[in-house]
Amino acid sequence: MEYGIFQLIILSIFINNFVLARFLGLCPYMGVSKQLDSAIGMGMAVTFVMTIASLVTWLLYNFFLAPTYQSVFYQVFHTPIQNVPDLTFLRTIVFILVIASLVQFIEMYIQKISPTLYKALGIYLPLITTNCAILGVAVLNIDMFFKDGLPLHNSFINTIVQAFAAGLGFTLVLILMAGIREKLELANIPKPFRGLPIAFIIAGLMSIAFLGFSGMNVE
Amino acid sequence: MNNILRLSIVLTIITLIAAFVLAEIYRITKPRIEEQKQAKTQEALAIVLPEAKLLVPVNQKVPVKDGDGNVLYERDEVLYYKGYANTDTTHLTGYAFEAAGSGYSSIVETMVGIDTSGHIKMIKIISQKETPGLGALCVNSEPFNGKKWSTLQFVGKGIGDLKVDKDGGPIVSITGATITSRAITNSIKDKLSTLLPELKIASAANPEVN
Amino acid sequence: MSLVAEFVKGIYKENPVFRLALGLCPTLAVSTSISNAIGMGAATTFVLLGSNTMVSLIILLFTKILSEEGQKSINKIRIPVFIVVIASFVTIVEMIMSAYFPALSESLGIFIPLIVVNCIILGRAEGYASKNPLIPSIVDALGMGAGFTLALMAIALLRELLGSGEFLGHTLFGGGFKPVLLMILPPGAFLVIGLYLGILNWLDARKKQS
Repeated sequence: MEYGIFQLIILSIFINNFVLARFLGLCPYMGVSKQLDSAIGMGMAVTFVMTIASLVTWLLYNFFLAPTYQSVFYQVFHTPIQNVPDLTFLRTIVFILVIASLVQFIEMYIQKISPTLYKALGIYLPLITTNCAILGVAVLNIDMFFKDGLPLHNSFINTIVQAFAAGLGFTLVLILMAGIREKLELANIPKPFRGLPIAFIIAGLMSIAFLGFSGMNVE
Repeated sequence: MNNILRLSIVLTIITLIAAFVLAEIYRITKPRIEEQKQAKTQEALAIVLPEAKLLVPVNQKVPVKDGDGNVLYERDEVLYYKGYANTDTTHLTGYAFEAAGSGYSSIVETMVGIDTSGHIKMIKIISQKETPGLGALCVNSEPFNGKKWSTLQFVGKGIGDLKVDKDGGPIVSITGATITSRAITNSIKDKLSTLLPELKIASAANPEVN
Repeated sequence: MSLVAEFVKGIYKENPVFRLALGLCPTLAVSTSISNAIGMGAATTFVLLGSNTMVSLIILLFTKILSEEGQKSINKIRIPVFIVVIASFVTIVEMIMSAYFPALSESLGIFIPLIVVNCIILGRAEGYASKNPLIPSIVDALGMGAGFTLALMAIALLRELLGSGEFLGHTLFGGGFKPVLLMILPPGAFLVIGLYLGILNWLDARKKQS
């Protein structure tokens, strides 16, 4: 089964929403969804990091880790094709180091070009490193778009599209949640449920709503 | 600058030590992982062709090519298995093959057993990494009650029956996991459509087979 | 704090899931069945143990062999070093699971490599193991791991019981029981944990009153 671009977008934003269906990115989802502005900022930052991280990790996997004819060991160092090392077991370490470094660089870059944006995003940036949605989408790209170490048809484009759409989906539910929680400040919620508990219940209700998408036929 | 260089070196050394340790453990566990895969294939074959006492793989040479289409080397890949009722090749009872399709979050691999007329005897999901609680329920093999997905609902189906309910067919999909259900059903149908002519079995979709 | 108190705090007072709101992603995804919960809990505890131990030892090593100034500059790369250590242990868990527990490895899916971003592990490494000697760090890891596992099991208990009518895979209720499918789907996870959090808050408020 091949994935069309439009199909992937609808899949990643709605049917397989990374927060409400795949359970990825929950910590920032709960922590940053109290106000609309921080929600939007976090959403954009996450989308950006997700896309770039997926790009870099795809390249590293395809050209360094997987033991195929695409590997630099074969192309550049001329190792005989049967002896190209299988470094796929280093996937987790390499990916998380890439993500951590990326977040560091982006933080330094934002600090330089826009101190106001940096102040606004402040503590959230380092938190993006442990955002399981970023590592999650990177690993998902490999699981979905590679077979036996070789990229499937349109693997690279699919990876970028899925990462970007996943970020959009994350931003969408973050904004929705922030909108609801801002209104909720004025509501009379029973004391034990104020704060985190009611946020989860709302997420549950939103998740039910998004379940409705699972019947969608996107062929 | 000097400081950054020193720190980078320390970090690199630590990473190299970690990589070395991991490579060793990989070396030790890899054969075990291969064994598990083999055992899994054999187990799946026993489930989809239970009465077969002898299973003979039929290979094809698959060329491994590089980006320009040059053939690097050829690899043996199992195209399908022949199942015989006795320990010799006198009584052919059916065939088994693997089908793979892209699901929600992984490639779902299924082992399918068919009889000599091309109808499914049994299927077994051999590998999937679908969402726990949703697509992952595709492995359910309880008796089929007509309403809930079970791998048993494929028993007796021919290539023409392989469509999920959402596509107008008889296959009941998993609630909330249409994509996984469709991936499995369509992957079996696709593999069958290439395999049946090869095995010289006629089907509704392909009645004239020589 | 005594060692016993160190251990127990991870279970109730500072339960990583219910009190510190850490490790939410795997908690919700994997709590569809009690066996999955136990498996994930065990894997995470293993990584916690390994990383807390290594981090405590590495900090000890560096404070012994480096000068004040050296320590200050190494401090800059401590997070990446912790990440390498944690990622290594997670990779070890990945390999051991695929080799010796393939069924569990398949049901836990991508959440095994995601243990590396489980905030509990980096949180304890940075917040505790880097500042405490070896033995308390080990006990802390065990306590947090146990608390995490118990939290997972508590959620899984409700979800498996109501969502599939089973307990540890054994069907409990008779044929007449219609399972609440929602419980094992994503919404169920959110609702159950929201409920538990609310109840815990209520219990705390009552304690404070008395």
